[in-house]
Amino acid sequence: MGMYVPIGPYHPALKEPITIKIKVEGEKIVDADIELGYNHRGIEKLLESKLWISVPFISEHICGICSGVHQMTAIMGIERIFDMEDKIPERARMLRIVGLELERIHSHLLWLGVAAHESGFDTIFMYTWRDRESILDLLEMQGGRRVVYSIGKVGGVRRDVDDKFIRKAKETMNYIKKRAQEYMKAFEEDPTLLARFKNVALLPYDVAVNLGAVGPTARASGIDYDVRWEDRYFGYSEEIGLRVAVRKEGDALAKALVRLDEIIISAEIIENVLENLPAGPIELKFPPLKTPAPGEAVARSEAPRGELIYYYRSDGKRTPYRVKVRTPTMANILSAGYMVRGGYIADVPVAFATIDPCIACMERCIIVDDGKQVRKLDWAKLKHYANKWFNENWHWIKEERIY
Amino acid sequence: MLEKVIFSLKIIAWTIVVIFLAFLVEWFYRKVLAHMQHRVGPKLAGKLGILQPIADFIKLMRKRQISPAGTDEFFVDFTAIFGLWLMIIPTMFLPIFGLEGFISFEGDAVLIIMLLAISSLVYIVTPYLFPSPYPTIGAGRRAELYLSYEIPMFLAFASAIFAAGSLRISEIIFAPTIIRNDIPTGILLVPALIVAILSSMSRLKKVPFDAPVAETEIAGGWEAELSGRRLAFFNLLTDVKLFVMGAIITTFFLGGPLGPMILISGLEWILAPVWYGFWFFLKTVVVIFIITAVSAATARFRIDQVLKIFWDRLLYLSVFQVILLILWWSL
Repeated sequence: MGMYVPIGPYHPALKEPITIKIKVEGEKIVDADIELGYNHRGIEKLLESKLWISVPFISEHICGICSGVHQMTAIMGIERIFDMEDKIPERARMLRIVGLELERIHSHLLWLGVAAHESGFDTIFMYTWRDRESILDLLEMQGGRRVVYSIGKVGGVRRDVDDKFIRKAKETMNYIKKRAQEYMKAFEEDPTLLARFKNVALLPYDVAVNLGAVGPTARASGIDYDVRWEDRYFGYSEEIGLRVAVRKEGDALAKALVRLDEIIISAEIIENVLENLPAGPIELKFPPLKTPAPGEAVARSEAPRGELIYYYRSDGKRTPYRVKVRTPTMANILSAGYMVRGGYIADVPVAFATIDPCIACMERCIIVDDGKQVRKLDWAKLKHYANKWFNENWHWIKEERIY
Repeated sequence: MLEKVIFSLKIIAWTIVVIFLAFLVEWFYRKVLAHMQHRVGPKLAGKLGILQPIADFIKLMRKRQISPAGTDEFFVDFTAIFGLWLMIIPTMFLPIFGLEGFISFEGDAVLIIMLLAISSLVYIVTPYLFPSPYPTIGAGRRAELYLSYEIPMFLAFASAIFAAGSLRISEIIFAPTIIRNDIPTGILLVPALIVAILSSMSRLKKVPFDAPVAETEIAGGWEAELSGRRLAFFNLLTDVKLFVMGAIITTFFLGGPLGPMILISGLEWILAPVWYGFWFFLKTVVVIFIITAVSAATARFRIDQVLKIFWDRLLYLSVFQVILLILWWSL
């Protein structure tokens, strides 16, 4: 018994293409399956054809929300390849931290809005997104653009900040901290929100460890792990106010509260950094056609959604030989599948939203599961498969006038 | 003969007026909700966007109609128009511009409650005419919701009827003003008013009781497959229903058109209906404002939570209301 209900690839709860196939009996979910592979973009291949200096400016287009952290992690890896990581000026590092933390705040505010919208609370959605605008204004002042802001570049940052920015940033951080506390009160006290978030989408500690959850998803299950804290890249430290927000409950409410905690921590970091901003140059000169020694490098950082990994391989040429990106959603998607099972249909959007999915960032390869065997299609095979399919089917496509 | 023609013309004119009132109510709902959510809301069509609902209606009427293969096309069209008529008929019993509606007879209160009950069936039958999973789930949820709110709502209306001691609407409007043991019945009826507002919110499928629609869960639920003219008519039905529910709550619990009036001798024939209409619409707007405020400040309940609220809380509250009324009156 039971009925299959497809959620996706096109569904109002999902902003990006993915299918959650759920088998329901009445309102209860007995089984769930997540299908990926609607959104292969080939961006890694594109990165391999670019000069080292322009790789970060392409890689930031991987995500429309956390574009800054993609760029910074790409830069971090390139600086390791060129062995110049220790020579970056102090002011540039601090300005990178400001950009990254601003991005974390706006990403978490966006998530709060989406989570509230999935549970039907559109008012919080409108409020958080309006607050998010003030952060986007700051990012525009710092980087020059609102969404893909290109704050960093290989060797430093692109633009310096002035007193006007610092003054406005401090005002905004005060405002954001106040708002975050209000939202926290709403999530902790509002009976309708509690009914939809408390004890929903449970992810116990050991399951989270086994499935390899990262980021706020893991920290809400009691895993005390933050790449900023472990690696101390760009000069993250206790002195600038870094703390790790951890909650033990593992439900959707804990995931919301962890993110709200992180908003407050990030606001404090920005205030501290701007208070003690060191003077000096903001960049190290980097010739565009510079070639590195052959070798490889891995860079990882804490994106708003979790651990982001960049892998580079260099064969001594002007362009990378291989770039591999592992986004946090890829690590968390298994946890999402676990959380969806056993609940009600009504909880699917909330449960799936708690990992803050970013599907288009995640899709890297196509995995084909035809029942007999699971195989991966790489670029060449995919091209071959596409050509073969087209050669076999082009005549009826022509008849049906699809193209 | 002439009387009959005039009566028919009155009915036709009133239907058109109700439809325009419904558009006005939708505009009010959208504008107030938008301001509560820190948005602007309808803005471009007409002054303050007051023509936006009409523009939306015309746009949908001109759109192409798509439905999945195997749909019972005739019955969907039928339910759209039938449902609209089921909602327009109750407005003819409502005492808006006087102490009586167009039609008034002993027992019209029961007829209104019955028409409301039947009109809910439209939302349960229509989705099953589409062979698609989302409307099916939405219809199931709608049926569960219907089972949960109908009894508390009936008891709430019944307590107003008990208080008035009559089944005639033109006498029920005086129920809140009756003073017994030094307390006006209007204050005693507050629990019933709460039950009626919450039940009518679930009847209207507003947040927190919008589980049958639940856009982010089941893609619009029972209305997922509606498009074009059908969607226009069902949207109009929802608007008319919002107005009707506000008006019925006004009639049963808030004294309908009654209120302080300033009359000039010689002009009573025109001033009295204006004052009656003013008080009636003012109270209706207040009820709709409360509904908007509640739905702006809540998240959507799951269907099992909705059942729990209605069967665990509101049913007891409405039973308590009836017992309270009987005890108070027998003192």
